[in-house]
Amino acid sequence: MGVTYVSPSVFPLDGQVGYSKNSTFGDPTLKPELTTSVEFGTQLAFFNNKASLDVTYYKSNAKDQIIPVPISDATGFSSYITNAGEIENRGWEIVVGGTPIEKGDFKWDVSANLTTNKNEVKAIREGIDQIVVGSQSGYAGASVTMILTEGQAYGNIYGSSYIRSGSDPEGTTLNRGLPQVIGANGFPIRTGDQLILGNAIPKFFGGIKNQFSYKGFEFSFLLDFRTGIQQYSQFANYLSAFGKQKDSERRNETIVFPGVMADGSQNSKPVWLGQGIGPDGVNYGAGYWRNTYRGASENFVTNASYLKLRKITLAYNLMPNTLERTPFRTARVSIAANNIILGTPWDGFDPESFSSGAGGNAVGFTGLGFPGVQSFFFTLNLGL
Amino acid sequence: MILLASSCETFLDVNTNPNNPTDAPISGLMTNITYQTTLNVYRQGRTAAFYVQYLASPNPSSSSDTMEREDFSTMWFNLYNAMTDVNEMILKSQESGAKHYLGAGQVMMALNLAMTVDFFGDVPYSESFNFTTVTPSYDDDMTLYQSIDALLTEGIANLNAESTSTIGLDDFIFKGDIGKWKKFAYTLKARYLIHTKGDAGYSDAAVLSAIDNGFASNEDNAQIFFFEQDRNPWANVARNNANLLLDGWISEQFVEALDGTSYPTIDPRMPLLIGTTDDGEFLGTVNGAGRGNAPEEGARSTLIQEQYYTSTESPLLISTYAELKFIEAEAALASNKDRAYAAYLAGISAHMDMLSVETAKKAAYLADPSVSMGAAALSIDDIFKEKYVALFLHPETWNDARRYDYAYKNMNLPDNLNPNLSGQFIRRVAYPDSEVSRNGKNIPSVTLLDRIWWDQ
Repeated sequence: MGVTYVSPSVFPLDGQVGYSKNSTFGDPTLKPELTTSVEFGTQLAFFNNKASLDVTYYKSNAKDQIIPVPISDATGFSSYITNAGEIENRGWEIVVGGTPIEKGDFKWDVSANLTTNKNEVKAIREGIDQIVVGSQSGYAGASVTMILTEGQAYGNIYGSSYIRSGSDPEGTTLNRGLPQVIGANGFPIRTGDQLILGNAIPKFFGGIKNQFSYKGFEFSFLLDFRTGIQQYSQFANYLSAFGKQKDSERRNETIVFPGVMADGSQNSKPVWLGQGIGPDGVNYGAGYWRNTYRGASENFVTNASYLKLRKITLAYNLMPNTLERTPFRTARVSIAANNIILGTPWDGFDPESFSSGAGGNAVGFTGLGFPGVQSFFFTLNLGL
Repeated sequence: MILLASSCETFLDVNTNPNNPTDAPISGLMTNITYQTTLNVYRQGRTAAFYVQYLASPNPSSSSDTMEREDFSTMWFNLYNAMTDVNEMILKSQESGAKHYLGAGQVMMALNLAMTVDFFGDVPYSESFNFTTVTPSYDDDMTLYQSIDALLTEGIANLNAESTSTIGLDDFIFKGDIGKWKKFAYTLKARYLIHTKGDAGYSDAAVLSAIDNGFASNEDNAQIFFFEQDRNPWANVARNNANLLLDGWISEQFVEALDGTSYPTIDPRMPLLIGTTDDGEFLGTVNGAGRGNAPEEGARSTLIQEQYYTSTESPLLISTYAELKFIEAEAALASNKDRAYAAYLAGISAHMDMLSVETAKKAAYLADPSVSMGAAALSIDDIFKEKYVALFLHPETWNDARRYDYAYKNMNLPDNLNPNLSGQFIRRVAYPDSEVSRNGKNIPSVTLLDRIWWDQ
């Protein structure tokens, strides 16, 4: 609380102990956080409980959230622990389920759920304009930061981008639909102005679970999806600095970047994507990917939606009469697979892996975290 | 029962953290300040060494060699961390009347602030350190130079006054010698005044009068000798390189300045500053080009251990008598060539003495007509050429280079230069990513070619 001092661990040196002002300042008037949530919904069942529908609306407000706010080192502190603000989450949760077919030995159960989420930073403590939740670095100014600003959603990822023609100078979000401005050298121009490139909290997520059983057979699968989410791929940034990413296979091509020049005319200047002296005699130095591409965060904040097959199992329970002549009472054979990625626009290994980046427990930064594991199982269960 | 009750009370008192005291002794702050300020000189030297081509990277197109936009969030933090502690020490010493600590603090504040301005230009200062606002505004760099000079002047006055407590061994730089602190303050005054040569209000006379009160010999050098438990950082660089964590490779520019290529004489300091290849040759690496097909060791000159700059307990130099002499030579060149020439020779001599160059070799070098050209023939190029060698690895050389427009003989742009520099040398560094995200509204919009005010 308040101002404190620390003695850095390098001391004592030559018998002297040094002291330094602690760079974390704890607000002496700290209050506890308070979360208020409201939920209302309905639970319906039909056809003698063979079908059910739950619909819920939720709204939750967390006030006086205690967050270590990173502040300018020039203030005398680097981190200010205080009641920083209020965040609201609201949305719908819908669960539909039932047993569409139950006839004789065959049964099919299904259950599906969908959640929608909209969140907003309702208020930030007076005197602070924005709170940096976390950041992750990238080469040549491609670092991204997750910043909370009043009136914006939680989880916005800010970073550098290419200049766009016709963009609103007061705008805070990058509009990727606008044409890029191409410089005199034929390459797009990067700006360090921080714009919102994406948001790391999914807008829709949910799943479907299906179970079929027929006599001794069981078959089930669980699908999981989320969408409306973007993440920063530090790994892609690193690869692009060394020409290891797939796109750099076109390094021997000469292309014209689509876009407009500063005067508004269409760009027509052909440039070579390689390094050193190109076939046109121009010295491209370290080349497009090192000079231009790797320094713009927008290239690495991409759609991290996915549809995954969480689990799929096919099993067979052997009939008791088959087992009469064996010492076993029960036997079950199954094959299963977990975490199979069915589809994702994410071009890293796994859209779900993340490392928390620097300065907090922010999501949305994938860093060099290990991807999830896709696995296959062959199982034999025997009971005595 | 009474014993239980009292222990309960202290046991449940969780709000005071014994690891984070709420007060610190002034001497403790002084120790950390002198230590961190010296390391700040190293940190800046580390970066500037590539811009002025003392060092080159063994890998091609490295971002420091090619003068790309890099993130200096750590350097910024360390500069402001030191200044925050200095501010604390200044406040405490004002309260307690410890004028010597106050004076030394003002000198340290001036030094750290100047280091920050010389790299970043406009920086926060007047709204800083006391947490008056979460987003301090940026002050104009020219105004900050006036603050720096004022701090040095006030510091000298306080060092001259009576103090309620004396500085002792808690001061790693001068061990409490107030006379040396005063000379140091005057030396810094001279250094920051000479930066403004060519700008309105500059006068050679002001520089010369500060020099008269500055360092008088190598004995006065502002430096910290490092420790067995905490090695000189350049020693670590040489050690890492010897263990194949490549670092400290010497630039072709520096080798050619010493080995008779750029200038007629071979400098006897060369074997005392840099290592040779396995064949006994001195061979540098071209900045930006990397080592080509050469192996990781034995094929190029690098920093090697156990030399003057690279031993475990080597001094890390903040400001030297040699530097002062070269400032004197530059300031006196227009008005008093004899004084300038004497200072120029004294500067070379002082640096050679620091390195313990053999007397005969030193005399031979100084007697060479290309070095001793006589007062009438002394030019600014000669002064800068020798100052370049005498300030090896020191960040002040980048200030010199920018003032001199990088006009050292045979100094070329690095290979694979950052295309955003349009074929010119870098003039400043970009504001750190930490400031961009935490204080973005106040940051001036700059490119790497926007010059610090004294460079314009």
